[in-house]
Amino acid sequence: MAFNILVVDDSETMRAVIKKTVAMSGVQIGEIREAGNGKEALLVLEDAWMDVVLSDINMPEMGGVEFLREVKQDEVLRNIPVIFVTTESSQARIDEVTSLGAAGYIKKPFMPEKIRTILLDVLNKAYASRMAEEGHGLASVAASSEEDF
Amino acid sequence: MGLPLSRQVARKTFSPGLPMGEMVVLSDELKKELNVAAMEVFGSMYFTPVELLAEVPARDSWRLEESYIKSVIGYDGPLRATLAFYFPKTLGLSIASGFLGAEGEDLSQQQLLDTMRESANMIVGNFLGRIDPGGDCSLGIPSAELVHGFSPAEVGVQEGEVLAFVSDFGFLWVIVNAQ
Repeated sequence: MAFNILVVDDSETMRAVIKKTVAMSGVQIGEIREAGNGKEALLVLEDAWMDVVLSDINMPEMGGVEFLREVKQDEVLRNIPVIFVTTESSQARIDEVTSLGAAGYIKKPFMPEKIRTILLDVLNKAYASRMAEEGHGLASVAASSEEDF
Repeated sequence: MGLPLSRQVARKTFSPGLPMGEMVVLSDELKKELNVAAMEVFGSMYFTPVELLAEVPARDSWRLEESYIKSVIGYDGPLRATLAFYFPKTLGLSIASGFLGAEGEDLSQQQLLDTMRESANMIVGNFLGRIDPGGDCSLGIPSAELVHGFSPAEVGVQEGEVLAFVSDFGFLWVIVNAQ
């Protein structure tokens, strides 16, 4: 099963780094889209289904926390997991976004393995839940993706 | 575990001949944390070693480049400071081309500025996470521009404390305006 991923960051360089890291993670990628802030990300989500969002927090126009709030308020979008990839590393901030429903938190600078581990974990949980809803048995995203390689 | 905020900034009074008054400078503990933050960013993201020097190097060793990428970012709250990073352009080109998979001529100035803006963002964000684990301070949004004719001697007197990191691409300068 291939996954559609949305990368949200006001830095083109960081989007490129994250995209490269995701591509090397072993997860089967359907489509990777990009957005420069939360507002643009919402426009992308209106247009196409994404299985997971990797987002920065500190962005102009609309930051990551506001974006997460918008996603969680939307009936269609609220089950899309949002993982934060950000320089903000205070426990208070982590607690705040976790309480709002963030699926994961990765601090910059990061090692590629960190993105892989959290992405696989989040997709595994999201995919297992979806499979259960559809009446299929539980399947491991990590197992299936690793078998393909 | 962070440092108690009350011990985070030292004050220094300058001698006659320079503008009277006090300049707030980073304490040695904060400089150590800034060094760790920068080393972590450069080491893990760029595989390029950097290290904060205990003192500004002697003037005859500066070997200033024609162009620097000036990236400015601040934080606000119980602690407030603005840090202006002056990255040698050669360092920026090396980092940006590695990230974006493009050689120097194919890199746009925008891509170069964006890379170093994000570098300053990560260094100060990492730094703030170490000195303010409770999240009482908020990180600003960084800016970046290409500057020519930069001299730490002139800028430092006007704008703040001068720090220098040594790297394979020469000195990376940081002007700190702390309050």
